Amino acid sequence: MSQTLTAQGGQTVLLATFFVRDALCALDAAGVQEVIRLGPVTPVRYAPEEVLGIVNLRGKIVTIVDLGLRLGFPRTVAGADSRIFIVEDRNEFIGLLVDRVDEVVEVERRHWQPPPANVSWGQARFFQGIYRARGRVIALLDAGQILKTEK
Amino acid sequence: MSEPNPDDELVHDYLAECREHLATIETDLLAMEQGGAQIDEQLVNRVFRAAHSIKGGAGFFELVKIRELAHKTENALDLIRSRRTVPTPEVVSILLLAFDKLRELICSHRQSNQADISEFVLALTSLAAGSLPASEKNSLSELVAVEVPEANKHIQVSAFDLSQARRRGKYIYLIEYDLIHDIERRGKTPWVVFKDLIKCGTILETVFDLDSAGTLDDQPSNQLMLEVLYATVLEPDMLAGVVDVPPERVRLIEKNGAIRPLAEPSPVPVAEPVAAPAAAAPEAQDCAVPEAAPVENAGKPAPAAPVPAGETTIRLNVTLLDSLMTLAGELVLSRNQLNESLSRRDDRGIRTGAQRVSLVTSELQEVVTQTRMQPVGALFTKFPRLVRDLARDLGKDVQLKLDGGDVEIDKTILEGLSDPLTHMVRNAVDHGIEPPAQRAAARKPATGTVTLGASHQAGQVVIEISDDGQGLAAEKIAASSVSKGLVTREQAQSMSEREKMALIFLPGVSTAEKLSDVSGRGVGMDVVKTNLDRLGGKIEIDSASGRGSHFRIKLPLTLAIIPSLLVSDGGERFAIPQVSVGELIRIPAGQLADRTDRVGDARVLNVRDRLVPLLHLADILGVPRPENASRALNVVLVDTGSFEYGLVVEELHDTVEIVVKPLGRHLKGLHEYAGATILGDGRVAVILDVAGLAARMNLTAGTAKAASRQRVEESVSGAELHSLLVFHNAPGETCAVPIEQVSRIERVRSAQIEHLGGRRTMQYRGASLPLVSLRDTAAVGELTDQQQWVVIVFERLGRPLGLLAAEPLDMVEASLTIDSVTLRQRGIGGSAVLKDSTILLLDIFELAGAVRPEAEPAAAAFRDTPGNAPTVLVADDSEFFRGQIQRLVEAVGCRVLAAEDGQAAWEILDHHAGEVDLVATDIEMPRLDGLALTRQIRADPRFAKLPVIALSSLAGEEEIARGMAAGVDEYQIKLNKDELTESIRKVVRRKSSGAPAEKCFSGRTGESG
Repeated sequence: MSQTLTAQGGQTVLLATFFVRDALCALDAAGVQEVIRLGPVTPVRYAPEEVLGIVNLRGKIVTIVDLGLRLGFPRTVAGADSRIFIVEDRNEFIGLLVDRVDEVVEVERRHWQPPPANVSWGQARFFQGIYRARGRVIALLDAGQILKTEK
Repeated sequence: MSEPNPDDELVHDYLAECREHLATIETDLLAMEQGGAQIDEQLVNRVFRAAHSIKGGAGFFELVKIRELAHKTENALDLIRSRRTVPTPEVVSILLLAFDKLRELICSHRQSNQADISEFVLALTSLAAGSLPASEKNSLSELVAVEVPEANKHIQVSAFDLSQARRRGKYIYLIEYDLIHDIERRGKTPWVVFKDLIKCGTILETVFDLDSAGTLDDQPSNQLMLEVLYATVLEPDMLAGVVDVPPERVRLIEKNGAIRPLAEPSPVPVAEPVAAPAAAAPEAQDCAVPEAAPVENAGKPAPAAPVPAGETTIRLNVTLLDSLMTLAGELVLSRNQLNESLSRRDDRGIRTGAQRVSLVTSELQEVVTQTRMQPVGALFTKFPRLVRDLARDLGKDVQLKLDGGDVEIDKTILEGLSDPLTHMVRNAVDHGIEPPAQRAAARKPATGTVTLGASHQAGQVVIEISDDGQGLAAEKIAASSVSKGLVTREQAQSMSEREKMALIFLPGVSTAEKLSDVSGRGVGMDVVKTNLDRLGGKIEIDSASGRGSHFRIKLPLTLAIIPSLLVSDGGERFAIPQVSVGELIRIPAGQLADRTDRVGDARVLNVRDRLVPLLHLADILGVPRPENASRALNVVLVDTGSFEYGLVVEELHDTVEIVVKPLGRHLKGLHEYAGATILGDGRVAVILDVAGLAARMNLTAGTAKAASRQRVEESVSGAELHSLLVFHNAPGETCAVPIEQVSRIERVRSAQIEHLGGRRTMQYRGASLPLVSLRDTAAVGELTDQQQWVVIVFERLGRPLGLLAAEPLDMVEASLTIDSVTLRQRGIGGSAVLKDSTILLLDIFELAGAVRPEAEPAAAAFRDTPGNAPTVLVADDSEFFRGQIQRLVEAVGCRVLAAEDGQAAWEILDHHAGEVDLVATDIEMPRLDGLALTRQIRADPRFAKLPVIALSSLAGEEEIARGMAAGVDEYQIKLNKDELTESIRKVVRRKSSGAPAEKCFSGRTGESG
């Protein structure tokens, strides 16, 4: 994480990448607190659809959001590779369920591109942009938008 | 520190202190008002000093508007102190408003210098001017310049202040502080120095001498001079004890304006010891400690005003902090022991270690909870002012009594309590307490009393608000609720007083006839209830019309840790706060049918004659519930505050203390949950909010009520409840009579029974009582000969008759389906099944007829009535009872038309419209019940004045109320001969005199199931 600090505001940015179904997505690594395995989740009836439930993260109650569902895919089926990205957003820790963790990549800011207009899944507001790295296209997600509750 | 910067930490100290002063000022001002011309000097001094210290600090921090306003209030207070102004309500109002404004300025001190305070200054100045002789009036706005020697400058000071100080024989000093050498180098803060000064006198004016600071290039011996104009009673030689500056920098200002230094400049001016800081530091602390308010005074300073700095910090008693540290230390120690034992695999060590940790943890929890505790008094202090202002606005005379202000409660709860309490106190003054004239008319003391009290009760804090006003108008509330469509008219009619009053917590219900500025906008009590629900509180109402209202709020001590019941369903565990749990009921599978009933698609549970709706947690959670009749039912009886219901859960676990954790933003809006908690195994359980769950399942106070009442109706219409006297004839023959027909039970020895002329008699009240046995009329077994007999005494046509019977006797209340065919004989009206055995219901009319046939047609009470004998329409679906009533009515000489249900009765009535003089109807009947019949009668103009008597075996308050609502004139116990005869007599009288029937309700009430 110390690298993050140096990368911040510099020429490059660190991205924590993961898969939501087949799509390679990323969050700014600086906003990711940790990545945990999917443990026992307590379901919460009447919660918004994308909420999987709540878990205990070292004494904190953390809401787990099904990222796939939020992005417009069908409900995620948790598997052995499922992980939870714990992100801090507006003073709250929230977990995002992803299908598989990939790697942390350092990308150059100048390679940023606006999200293409024809992304068929999800809504444009969830995307911050597109990066190309090692021949792959990474969709950078906007955690703030994803964790916004509609009301 | 070299320059006054509003963002300095010192400012925060100052502001915190101001808030503390302001918190108590209100109470003191109100006390001054009470005292009127009898001035309590100590009191006035306290307020004066508060104003003064606010002024002093404001001057120091260059908060000019705060300073000016504080100064003006100080002037006014000074006039009160010197008895030149009487603290009348008007004067106190001006002061209160000024202090309000001060509080506002202090809250937003950064903008305060731009604030407009002219209105307040003007009010205060004219107040002061009004009490000054003309010659002095000018001094209020006049400024005098005091020259500062050797500095080529002067200090502007109010002439009024100077003359006021002189008038008291004070000395005026000009003190030059060097902020660097006299204050900072000695480890003091200017604020501490200020406070020392204020203790012994008043600061008239302060001025920074920025010129003295020189430039950055100057030597480090730089000075930053602060000129203080100080008025005190201390003589010059005593001043040194308070003012710690070289004497040459203290000058006395003489009356004539001459300035005299107290000492000549000393030859070595820079001789101040540089080593002082270390030594002076503890001294400075000593000064500070007594200033820090003890923890119990550290309440929210001004609950009404937003306090940006105060809310995030909390003042803590040092001993509490010490014990926290000790416990933390112990916890670390225990952890180390535990780790060691674990590595050594020492089971005993692990066990003792775990024990220790558990012990320390609970102690830690307790102490941490304590740190959050605040006295309720901190909240109470705002109410005297509120009540005073409100009472004045409304032209009422109201006193507020406070009690139990030292009771402590969690800070969060205390803050959440502020709004609901304010609302309720407002209501008490506005709606509760009557205007003086009305009070006088009601012979009440002119001054109304509102009492606000707090106390500890059974681990909870109870806040009580009561007033001796006019009380809550239950009917008005009910009417308002009905007109707003919140409950149906029928629901409202079946409610008790208390239940009607509880309707005030529904949204939109109001009792105020006209909307006032203060309350009665139709919003309020529902918000109060919502707020209290959020705090885990419960509210109860008690009110007597004309005598006042009493509200009780029960609150948990703390929100952070609450005892809760753990339950589970569908593989998940849930916590239910203990405060909502009434009791736990386990219904064995065998009793399910007896104790629960289905009403439409809802189920109700019978709990000691109360019917409560049942909700299945599984249904709420959307998990399939095993609809298995062979399973016992676990029911948690929960109370939402306005109604109770039974929550059916799969399993019940322990009651544990849980730590309440808030839910994240996605789940905040869910009213079904009160938060979440982490259980012993690290898993998360949600905390259920029983009111929210009920709302989710569309169960509200109204529907809960309806479900339970429906059950009553159903059960009763299926089989009516009757009170019976059960006795025996021959062994194995169980007989019963309606208890209403029995006048007495006698036990006699067989020797007392006389056999005369083929008849059996006995001596009874000086006459001979004819005795019969069932065998005299029916083919039943012979009573076995025994030493002792039971004689059941009836009355028949005004004369007593005894029925011989055998023990055991029993009184039962049972719902019976009477079979009037199978076992019908002369003397036996019918039979019914009671507790698996068949009982014979005796027809005493037939029994009597068999014994004394000659008496049968005689003694008709209305035989000699002029005109026709009255005609009574009797409606009852039970043939047995219909027959009994019919003969009872016929016995007094009336003509009877009998109908087997309401529909039949209506048809008869319709046909014989002009003939029927009185209707006596059973309530529960098929096709058309008694109430519906009555409503139909009342709706028909032909029968508008036809008296209707409702007959019921047992009448509850609710039923009587419903009967009244339907238009019943009287509610009577079935087979009560005297009452029925009296009613008929009334009808006859009316018939002959043409007077309208009077309404009366003579029904006896009893427990109804």
